[in-house]
Amino acid sequence: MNGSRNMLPESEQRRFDADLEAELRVCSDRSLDDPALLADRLLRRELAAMAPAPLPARLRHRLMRRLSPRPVWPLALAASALAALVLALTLRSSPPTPTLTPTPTPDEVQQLGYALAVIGEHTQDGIRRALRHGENALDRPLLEPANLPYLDLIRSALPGPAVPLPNPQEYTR
Amino acid sequence: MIMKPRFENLVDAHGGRLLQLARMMLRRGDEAEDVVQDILLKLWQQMPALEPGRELGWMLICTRNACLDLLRRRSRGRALLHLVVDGEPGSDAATDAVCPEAELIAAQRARRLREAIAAMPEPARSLLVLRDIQDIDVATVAELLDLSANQVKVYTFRARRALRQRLEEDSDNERKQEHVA
Repeated sequence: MNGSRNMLPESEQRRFDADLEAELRVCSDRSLDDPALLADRLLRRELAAMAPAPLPARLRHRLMRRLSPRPVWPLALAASALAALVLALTLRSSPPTPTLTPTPTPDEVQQLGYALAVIGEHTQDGIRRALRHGENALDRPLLEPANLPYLDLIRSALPGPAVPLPNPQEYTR
Repeated sequence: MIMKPRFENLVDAHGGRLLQLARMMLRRGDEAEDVVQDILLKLWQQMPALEPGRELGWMLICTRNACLDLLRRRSRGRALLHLVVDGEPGSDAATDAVCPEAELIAAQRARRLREAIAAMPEPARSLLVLRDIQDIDVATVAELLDLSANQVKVYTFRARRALRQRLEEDSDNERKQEHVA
Protein backbone atom coordinates (compact mmCIF):
# COMPACT_ATOMS: atom_id res chain seq x y z
CA MET A 1 0.00 0.00 0.00
CA ASN A 2 1.63 3.18 -1.11
CA GLY A 3 -0.39 6.26 -0.31
CA SER A 4 2.51 8.66 -0.40
CA ARG A 5 2.82 10.78 -3.49
CA ASN A 6 6.49 10.27 -4.13
CA MET A 7 8.34 7.02 -4.32
CA LEU A 8 10.08 6.42 -0.98
CA PRO A 9 13.12 4.31 -0.19
CA GLU A 10 12.12 0.86 1.03
CA SER A 11 12.91 1.49 4.69
CA GLU A 12 11.05 4.76 4.65
CA GLN A 13 8.11 3.11 2.96
CA ARG A 14 7.99 0.43 5.66
CA ARG A 15 7.98 3.11 8.33
CA PHE A 16 5.27 5.01 6.47
CA ASP A 17 3.09 1.90 6.31
CA ALA A 18 3.64 1.12 9.98
CA ASP A 19 2.70 4.65 11.01
CA LEU A 20 -0.38 4.51 8.83
CA GLU A 21 -1.43 1.26 10.47
CA ALA A 22 -0.81 2.78 13.91
CA GLU A 23 -2.89 5.85 13.08
CA LEU A 24 -5.79 3.70 11.94
CA ARG A 25 -5.64 1.77 15.22
CA VAL A 26 -5.47 4.97 17.27
CA CYS A 27 -8.50 6.38 15.48
CA SER A 28 -10.50 3.16 15.71
CA ASP A 29 -12.58 1.98 18.65
CA ARG A 30 -10.56 -1.21 19.01
CA SER A 31 -8.87 -1.83 22.36
CA LEU A 32 -5.16 -1.16 22.41
CA ASP A 33 -2.56 -3.10 24.30
CA ASP A 34 0.39 -0.98 23.22
CA PRO A 35 0.84 1.72 25.93
CA ALA A 36 2.34 4.18 23.45
CA LEU A 37 -0.66 3.92 21.15
CA LEU A 38 -2.96 4.16 24.13
CA ALA A 39 -1.24 7.38 25.18
CA ASP A 40 -1.60 8.66 21.61
CA ARG A 41 -5.32 7.92 21.72
CA LEU A 42 -5.72 9.73 25.03
CA LEU A 43 -3.93 12.77 23.68
CA ARG A 44 -6.13 12.69 20.61
CA ARG A 45 -9.22 12.69 22.82
CA GLU A 46 -7.80 15.54 24.84
CA LEU A 47 -7.19 17.54 21.70
CA ALA A 48 -10.72 16.80 20.47
CA ALA A 49 -12.03 18.35 23.68
CA MET A 50 -10.40 21.64 22.66
CA ALA A 51 -13.09 22.19 20.04
CA PRO A 52 -13.24 25.80 18.89
CA ALA A 53 -15.48 28.26 20.60
CA PRO A 54 -17.86 30.12 18.29
CA LEU A 55 -16.69 33.35 16.80
CA PRO A 56 -16.82 36.05 19.51
CA ALA A 57 -19.95 38.17 19.23
CA ARG A 58 -17.82 41.32 19.17
CA LEU A 59 -15.90 40.14 16.11
CA ARG A 60 -19.06 38.90 14.41
CA HIS A 61 -20.77 42.23 14.97
CA ARG A 62 -17.75 44.11 13.61
CA LEU A 63 -17.74 41.91 10.54
CA MET A 64 -21.45 42.31 9.81
CA ARG A 65 -21.21 46.05 10.25
CA ARG A 66 -18.51 46.20 7.61
CA LEU A 67 -20.62 44.16 5.23
CA SER A 68 -23.79 46.20 5.31
CA PRO A 69 -23.60 49.32 3.16
CA ARG A 70 -23.72 52.53 5.10
CA PRO A 71 -27.24 53.98 5.18
CA VAL A 72 -27.65 57.04 3.01
CA TRP A 73 -30.33 58.77 5.04
CA PRO A 74 -28.00 60.28 7.71
CA LEU A 75 -25.93 61.84 4.94
CA ALA A 76 -29.01 63.18 3.19
CA LEU A 77 -30.31 64.54 6.47
CA ALA A 78 -27.02 66.26 7.22
CA ALA A 79 -26.85 67.71 3.70
CA SER A 80 -30.36 69.13 3.88
CA ALA A 81 -29.73 70.60 7.33
CA LEU A 82 -26.58 72.24 6.04
CA ALA A 83 -28.38 73.62 3.01
CA ALA A 84 -31.12 75.05 5.23
CA LEU A 85 -28.54 76.67 7.47
CA VAL A 86 -26.71 78.25 4.53
CA LEU A 87 -29.97 79.53 3.10
CA ALA A 88 -31.02 81.05 6.42
CA LEU A 89 -27.67 82.79 6.88
CA THR A 90 -27.75 84.14 3.34
CA LEU A 91 -31.22 85.54 3.72
CA ARG A 92 -30.36 87.14 7.03
CA SER A 93 -27.21 88.82 5.72
CA SER A 94 -28.77 90.23 2.50
CA PRO A 95 -30.17 93.83 2.68
CA PRO A 96 -33.89 94.02 3.27
CA THR A 97 -35.81 94.47 0.10
CA PRO A 98 -38.22 97.40 0.12
CA THR A 99 -41.82 96.48 0.18
CA LEU A 100 -43.58 97.68 -2.90
CA THR A 101 -47.08 98.78 -2.47
CA PRO A 102 -49.15 98.38 -5.61
CA THR A 103 -50.75 101.83 -5.25
CA PRO A 104 -48.65 104.59 -3.78
CA THR A 105 -50.27 106.84 -1.25
CA PRO A 106 -50.75 110.51 -2.12
CA ASP A 107 -48.01 111.39 0.34
CA GLU A 108 -45.56 109.02 -1.43
CA VAL A 109 -46.54 110.45 -4.80
CA GLN A 110 -45.96 113.91 -3.47
CA GLN A 111 -42.50 113.01 -2.18
CA LEU A 112 -41.63 111.27 -5.43
CA GLY A 113 -42.83 114.24 -7.41
CA TYR A 114 -40.73 116.56 -5.32
CA ALA A 115 -37.67 114.42 -5.84
CA LEU A 116 -38.20 114.30 -9.59
CA ALA A 117 -38.86 118.04 -9.75
CA VAL A 118 -35.64 118.73 -7.89
CA ILE A 119 -33.74 116.44 -10.21
CA GLY A 120 -35.39 117.98 -13.27
CA GLU A 121 -34.69 121.51 -12.06
CA HIS A 122 -31.05 120.75 -11.42
CA THR A 123 -30.67 118.92 -14.68
CA GLN A 124 -32.17 121.79 -16.67
CA ASP A 125 -29.98 124.18 -14.79
CA GLY A 126 -26.92 122.08 -15.60
CA ILE A 127 -27.83 121.90 -19.27
CA ARG A 128 -28.39 125.65 -19.47
CA ARG A 129 -25.03 126.25 -17.87
CA ALA A 130 -23.33 123.79 -20.22
CA LEU A 131 -24.96 125.41 -23.23
CA ARG A 132 -23.92 128.82 -22.10
CA HIS A 133 -20.32 127.78 -21.67
CA GLY A 134 -20.05 125.45 -24.67
CA GLU A 135 -22.30 127.30 -27.10
CA ASN A 136 -19.51 128.03 -29.50
CA ALA A 137 -17.97 124.59 -29.43
CA LEU A 138 -20.99 122.28 -29.40
CA ASP A 139 -23.94 121.76 -31.68
CA ARG A 140 -27.21 122.90 -30.29
CA PRO A 141 -29.04 119.98 -28.69
CA LEU A 142 -32.24 118.81 -30.29
CA LEU A 143 -34.22 119.06 -27.07
CA GLU A 144 -34.98 122.34 -25.47
CA PRO A 145 -34.41 122.22 -21.70
CA ALA A 146 -37.99 123.18 -21.10
CA ASN A 147 -39.31 120.23 -23.16
CA LEU A 148 -37.60 117.35 -21.41
CA PRO A 149 -40.05 114.46 -21.71
CA TYR A 150 -39.54 112.40 -18.63
CA LEU A 151 -41.60 114.47 -16.24
CA ASP A 152 -44.71 113.99 -18.37
CA LEU A 153 -43.95 110.30 -18.84
CA ILE A 154 -43.64 109.74 -15.14
CA ARG A 155 -46.76 111.73 -14.53
CA SER A 156 -48.69 109.59 -17.00
CA ALA A 157 -47.34 106.34 -15.49
CA LEU A 158 -48.63 107.12 -12.05
CA PRO A 159 -51.95 105.35 -11.36
CA GLY A 160 -55.13 106.93 -10.30
CA PRO A 161 -56.26 110.47 -10.80
CA ALA A 162 -53.56 112.81 -11.83
CA VAL A 163 -51.85 114.21 -8.85
CA PRO A 164 -50.41 117.64 -9.44
CA LEU A 165 -46.68 117.62 -9.05
CA PRO A 166 -45.58 120.18 -6.59
CA ASN A 167 -43.46 123.08 -7.44
CA PRO A 168 -40.03 122.49 -5.98
CA GLN A 169 -39.84 126.12 -5.09
CA GLU A 170 -42.57 125.57 -2.50
CA TYR A 171 -40.29 123.31 -0.43
CA THR A 172 -37.59 124.64 1.72
CA ARG A 173 -34.56 122.59 2.43
CA MET B 1 -31.02 38.58 -1.00
CA ILE B 2 -29.91 34.94 -0.54
CA MET B 3 -26.21 35.65 -0.12
CA LYS B 4 -26.41 37.05 3.37
CA PRO B 5 -28.10 34.08 5.12
CA ARG B 6 -25.61 31.75 3.46
CA PHE B 7 -22.75 33.94 4.57
CA GLU B 8 -24.05 34.15 8.13
CA ASN B 9 -24.40 30.38 8.27
CA LEU B 10 -20.80 29.97 7.17
CA VAL B 11 -19.57 32.53 9.70
CA ASP B 12 -21.45 30.83 12.52
CA ALA B 13 -20.41 27.33 11.48
CA HIS B 14 -16.75 27.93 10.74
CA GLY B 15 -15.72 31.33 12.12
CA GLY B 16 -14.61 29.78 15.42
CA ARG B 17 -12.49 27.18 13.60
CA LEU B 18 -10.70 29.84 11.61
CA LEU B 19 -10.04 31.90 14.71
CA GLN B 20 -8.69 28.90 16.59
CA LEU B 21 -6.39 27.97 13.71
CA ALA B 22 -5.14 31.54 13.44
CA ARG B 23 -4.58 31.79 17.19
CA MET B 24 -2.69 28.53 17.26
CA MET B 25 -0.49 29.67 14.43
CA LEU B 26 0.07 33.27 15.40
CA ARG B 27 -0.14 33.05 19.20
CA ARG B 28 -1.61 36.54 19.22
CA GLY B 29 -5.31 37.05 19.61
CA ASP B 30 -5.50 40.51 18.04
CA GLU B 31 -3.62 39.48 14.90
CA ALA B 32 -5.67 36.31 14.67
CA GLU B 33 -8.91 38.27 14.79
CA ASP B 34 -7.70 40.64 12.08
CA VAL B 35 -6.76 37.72 9.85
CA VAL B 36 -10.12 36.03 10.34
CA GLN B 37 -12.01 39.22 9.69
CA ASP B 38 -10.10 39.77 6.45
CA ILE B 39 -10.72 36.20 5.34
CA LEU B 40 -14.44 36.43 6.05
CA LEU B 41 -14.70 39.72 4.18
CA LYS B 42 -12.90 38.08 1.29
CA LEU B 43 -15.33 35.19 1.52
CA TRP B 44 -18.21 37.63 1.18
CA GLN B 45 -16.70 39.00 -2.01
CA GLN B 46 -15.80 35.61 -3.47
CA MET B 47 -18.91 33.74 -2.42
CA PRO B 48 -20.79 34.02 -5.74
CA ALA B 49 -17.91 32.24 -7.42
CA LEU B 50 -17.47 29.60 -4.70
CA GLU B 51 -19.09 26.24 -5.15
CA PRO B 52 -21.39 25.46 -2.21
CA GLY B 53 -19.79 22.91 0.08
CA ARG B 54 -16.26 23.95 -0.73
CA GLU B 55 -16.22 27.10 1.34
CA LEU B 56 -14.58 25.55 4.41
CA GLY B 57 -11.58 24.30 2.46
CA TRP B 58 -11.24 27.67 0.78
CA MET B 59 -11.42 29.54 4.09
CA LEU B 60 -8.90 27.23 5.75
CA ILE B 61 -6.43 27.60 2.88
CA CYS B 62 -6.78 31.41 3.00
CA THR B 63 -6.46 31.54 6.78
CA ARG B 64 -3.43 29.28 6.88
CA ASN B 65 -1.71 31.16 4.05
CA ALA B 66 -2.43 34.51 5.66
CA CYS B 67 -0.99 33.26 8.96
CA LEU B 68 2.09 31.85 7.27
CA ASP B 69 2.63 35.18 5.50
CA LEU B 70 2.35 37.00 8.80
CA LEU B 71 4.74 34.60 10.48
CA ARG B 72 7.26 35.04 7.68
CA ARG B 73 7.03 38.80 7.95
CA ARG B 74 7.25 38.61 11.70
CA SER B 75 10.32 36.36 11.64
CA ARG B 76 11.99 38.70 9.15
CA GLY B 77 11.18 41.76 11.21
CA ARG B 78 11.96 40.32 14.60
CA ALA B 79 14.70 37.89 13.84
CA LEU B 80 16.50 38.67 17.08
CA LEU B 81 13.47 39.15 19.25
CA HIS B 82 12.53 36.16 21.28
CA LEU B 83 8.81 35.81 21.17
CA VAL B 84 7.44 35.17 24.60
CA VAL B 85 4.40 32.98 24.47
CA ASP B 86 1.55 34.86 25.96
CA GLY B 87 -1.38 32.58 26.55
CA GLU B 88 -3.89 35.31 27.32
CA PRO B 89 -4.55 36.83 23.94
CA GLY B 90 -4.34 33.53 22.13
CA SER B 91 -6.48 31.58 24.51
CA ASP B 92 -10.00 30.51 23.78
CA ALA B 93 -12.79 32.33 25.50
CA ALA B 94 -13.77 29.20 27.38
CA THR B 95 -10.52 29.14 29.32
CA ASP B 96 -10.14 32.86 29.85
CA ALA B 97 -12.50 33.06 32.76
CA VAL B 98 -11.31 32.66 36.32
CA CYS B 99 -11.93 29.01 37.18
CA PRO B 100 -12.36 27.00 40.33
CA GLU B 101 -9.34 24.89 41.28
CA ALA B 102 -10.24 21.80 39.27
CA GLU B 103 -11.03 23.85 36.22
CA LEU B 104 -7.86 25.83 36.75
CA ILE B 105 -5.78 22.69 36.39
CA ALA B 106 -7.63 21.80 33.20
CA ALA B 107 -7.18 25.32 31.92
CA GLN B 108 -3.44 25.17 32.64
CA ARG B 109 -3.20 21.88 30.80
CA ALA B 110 -5.11 23.31 27.84
CA ARG B 111 -2.84 26.32 27.79
CA ARG B 112 0.23 24.10 27.85
CA LEU B 113 -1.20 22.11 24.97
CA ARG B 114 -1.87 25.24 22.96
CA GLU B 115 1.62 26.52 23.54
CA ALA B 116 3.15 23.21 22.58
CA ILE B 117 1.05 23.01 19.41
CA ALA B 118 1.89 26.59 18.53
CA ALA B 119 5.57 25.73 18.81
CA MET B 120 5.29 22.82 16.37
CA PRO B 121 6.62 23.23 12.84
CA GLU B 122 4.37 23.22 9.81
CA PRO B 123 2.54 21.19 8.60
CA ALA B 124 2.43 19.30 11.93
CA ARG B 125 0.75 22.24 13.67
CA SER B 126 -1.95 22.59 11.03
CA LEU B 127 -2.56 18.86 11.01
CA LEU B 128 -3.07 18.73 14.76
CA VAL B 129 -5.43 21.70 14.73
CA LEU B 130 -7.44 20.63 11.71
CA ARG B 131 -7.58 16.88 12.21
CA ASP B 132 -7.42 16.28 15.95
CA ILE B 133 -8.93 19.46 17.38
CA GLN B 134 -11.38 20.47 14.69
CA ASP B 135 -12.05 17.00 13.24
CA ILE B 136 -12.02 18.22 9.65
CA ASP B 137 -12.23 15.37 7.17
CA VAL B 138 -9.10 13.88 5.63
CA ALA B 139 -9.99 14.86 2.07
CA THR B 140 -10.38 18.56 2.91
CA VAL B 141 -7.15 18.64 4.89
CA ALA B 142 -5.33 16.75 2.13
CA GLU B 143 -6.47 19.31 -0.41
CA LEU B 144 -5.59 22.16 1.90
CA LEU B 145 -2.05 20.94 2.56
CA ASP B 146 -1.49 19.45 -0.87
CA LEU B 147 -0.95 15.96 0.50
CA SER B 148 -2.40 12.54 -0.18
CA ALA B 149 -4.99 11.12 2.22
CA ASN B 150 -2.51 8.59 3.61
CA GLN B 151 0.11 11.28 4.06
CA VAL B 152 -2.40 13.28 6.11
CA LYS B 153 -2.99 10.27 8.37
CA VAL B 154 0.66 9.39 8.77
CA TYR B 155 1.86 12.94 9.33
CA THR B 156 -0.93 13.52 11.84
CA PHE B 157 0.14 10.42 13.72
CA ARG B 158 3.75 11.62 13.76
CA ALA B 159 2.79 15.14 14.78
CA ARG B 160 0.67 13.87 17.66
CA ARG B 161 3.41 11.61 18.86
CA ALA B 162 5.96 14.43 18.67
CA LEU B 163 3.57 16.61 20.66
CA ARG B 164 3.11 13.94 23.30
CA GLN B 165 6.85 13.45 23.65
CA ARG B 166 7.33 17.19 23.98
CA LEU B 167 4.68 17.45 26.69
CA GLU B 168 6.25 14.52 28.57
CA GLU B 169 9.66 16.16 28.36
CA ASP B 170 8.25 19.43 29.65
CA SER B 171 6.60 17.79 32.65
CA ASP B 172 9.79 15.81 33.37
CA ASN B 173 11.75 19.07 33.37
CA GLU B 174 9.22 20.70 35.68
CA ARG B 175 9.40 17.77 38.07
CA LYS B 176 13.20 17.98 38.10
CA GLN B 177 13.07 21.73 38.80
CA GLU B 178 10.62 21.21 41.66
CA HIS B 179 12.89 18.50 43.05
CA VAL B 180 15.91 20.81 42.92
CA ALA B 181 13.96 23.62 44.54
